[in-house]
Amino acid sequence: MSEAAVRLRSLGEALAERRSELRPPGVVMAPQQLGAARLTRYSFSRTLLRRAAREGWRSRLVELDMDAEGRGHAVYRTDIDDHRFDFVAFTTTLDESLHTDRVIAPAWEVTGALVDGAVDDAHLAELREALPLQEAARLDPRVLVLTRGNRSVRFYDYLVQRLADGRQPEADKVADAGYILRSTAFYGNGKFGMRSYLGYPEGHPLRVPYRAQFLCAWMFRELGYDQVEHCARARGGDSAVRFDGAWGRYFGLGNATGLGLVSYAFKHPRVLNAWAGVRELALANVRALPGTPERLALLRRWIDRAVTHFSTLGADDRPPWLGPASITERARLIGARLDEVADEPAPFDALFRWAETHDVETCELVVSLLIELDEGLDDDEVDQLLRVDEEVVVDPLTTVDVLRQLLDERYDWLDDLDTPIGNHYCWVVSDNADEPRRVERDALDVDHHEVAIDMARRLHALCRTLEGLPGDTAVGTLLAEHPGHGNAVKRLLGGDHPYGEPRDNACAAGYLPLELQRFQLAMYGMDNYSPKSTDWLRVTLFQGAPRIDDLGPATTDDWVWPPRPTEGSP
Amino acid sequence: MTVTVAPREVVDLVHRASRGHGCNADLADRLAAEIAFCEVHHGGGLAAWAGLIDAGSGRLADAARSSLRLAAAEVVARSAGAATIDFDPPLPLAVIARSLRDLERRGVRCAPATGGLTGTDLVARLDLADGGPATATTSRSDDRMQAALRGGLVVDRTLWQRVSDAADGFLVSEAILDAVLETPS
Repeated sequence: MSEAAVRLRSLGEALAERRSELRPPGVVMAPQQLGAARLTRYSFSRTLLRRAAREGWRSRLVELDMDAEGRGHAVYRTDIDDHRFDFVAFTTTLDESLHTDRVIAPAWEVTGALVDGAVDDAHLAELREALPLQEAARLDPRVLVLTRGNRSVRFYDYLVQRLADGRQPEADKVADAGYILRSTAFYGNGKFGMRSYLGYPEGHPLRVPYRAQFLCAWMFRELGYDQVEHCARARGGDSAVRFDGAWGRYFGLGNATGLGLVSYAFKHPRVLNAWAGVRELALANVRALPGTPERLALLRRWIDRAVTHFSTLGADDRPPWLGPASITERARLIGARLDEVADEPAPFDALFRWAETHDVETCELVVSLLIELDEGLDDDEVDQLLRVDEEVVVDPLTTVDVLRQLLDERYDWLDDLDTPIGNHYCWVVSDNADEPRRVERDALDVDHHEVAIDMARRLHALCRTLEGLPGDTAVGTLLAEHPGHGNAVKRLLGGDHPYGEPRDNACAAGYLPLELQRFQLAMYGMDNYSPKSTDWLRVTLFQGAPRIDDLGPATTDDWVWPPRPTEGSP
Repeated sequence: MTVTVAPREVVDLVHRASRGHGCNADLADRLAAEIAFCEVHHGGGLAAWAGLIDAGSGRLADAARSSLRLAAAEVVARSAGAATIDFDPPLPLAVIARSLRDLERRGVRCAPATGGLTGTDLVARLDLADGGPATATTSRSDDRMQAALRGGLVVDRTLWQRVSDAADGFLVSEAILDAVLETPS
């Protein structure tokens, strides 16, 4: 464990000790700021692959049994010390009419699972029946993650045909195609009978939040490559070629994300606090660094990488966010500003302070770029900081005075949300695949169906109830008379988590789910944010990442934002 | 016949299933945590939930408030040294099992002892006395919960199906949603 890890024994201590160096929660958790977040070197996809490379994880394809159209199954095996994990995927083809842009669907072209241990024939047969059922499946604790997805309608067959013809893809034909397969969910943590995350024993290599999901996603991405190459061989015979050069890494895994992320975020303040807290600590570390030539050169390389990557992503039409062309322009401006401040004693702080005065996309791009320079957090420490205990036990003797004090200290922003339209939407769960949805409150009688993610409104209601109570009233007495305040009290007494609350009201008429969704996707390590409505978006992950055969001690961490390959047979 | 489930599934399903039986979100959260804790540590949590449904309209929500009444009694016990709480009609241990564990961890002794009861055993009266040793461990640190998190929890399949069916009532029909939603998800 590093010296920094010893110093930062807990996230709460770290955030408290360094509060003056950190961005205030009112800025970090503001909706527009959340909606401009980008991946960082501490995003889950990055930390997974750094650890995999450093610790010598060995992944390989052990079974691929598919017909010429890519229908069949594949098994990928990952050995981590004496642990073995199998990613099992069953593949089929769907009529194009069954492809859907929605997160939910009746059928999928790929269904998969990450299993703890080697899958034998009997288990493979069980999974073959269960995985296509997805949310209707009953799994068991051997299974850690359940996932599904589809082929890219636009590009899968194109890529197969190019390789079958012995040619590489044409760069200008895949301008914004960052993926071959597109996933939509990575269920885990006890869903459908799978192993609970807290049931991973001490020393288990995936006992870090979302590590199992991201190992699964990395295998899923590998499947896309192998499936296309398999189909190309079947179609082209000896003429077929494999992806070569930079094409062998360019494609990531697509993902379509819906409203499930929003309800998760509002219900897990300690998790949000950890994600944002790690990022803010890293940013503070870098802002304090002097500008050595090596650091300045490294930052310039990252800026150049951003310019190159975003300039090849196609059209600039991704409202409410900036599109790739505008991001490219922002990255160029950042580079120019870095040149201007390079000789200052604290150039990275100067660059950040400049960015703060610009639009949120510029600001968060600078945050992401700067964090590439962080030397203060190591991966073991980050893993430790991300593990949070979410259990809250309320002491009934806590007084109303204490509740009032905590409301004053931590929730002074609630009043800004109390508008006449603050109760426009309610949130419910669809009977189709358990997908959360929001609906106008007046449009539906949602009695007994509403999902309680309206924490801002609940805390505000608690404020009003407390106004008329003696200060020495105990919480136990309060809740016996007002049971509807249980969750608000629990939230309030759950501890000081400065980055745990999105400063937003999910029930307001103007609420934009995309903002919180993007923040979470950025923390996961996804990019190429492409909104498809106010409520869902597409992203790409592991684009440019090493393939399983590339992984080794020499694997570097600078794979994100890959340049679009230029080579390719005409 | 049994089925192996994860503890979080018990929480999720009992919450949903209770919403259609008079529990608001806060009460349903509280009840779900009690039932899941009981199922892991005492057994009989789901059976107790079903028994309350069978007992008639409003009984589940009344029982769900019992843990809040217990907390109010704890306030008295810790302020005055002792308190007594009566449950009329008697209620199954399952709806207060977790609260009793928490209360004892805060140094409040409870009589009669409930450690040997199952979730469906009825509790009519509890005497609370302040002054026991307080401990700080959380439920996730104990062996039973760890085993359930690691290997799942074996529950009666018929009961599980009954709770699952009730939980389906929490969901809103996709057809209805599609008809009223402005934007598809």
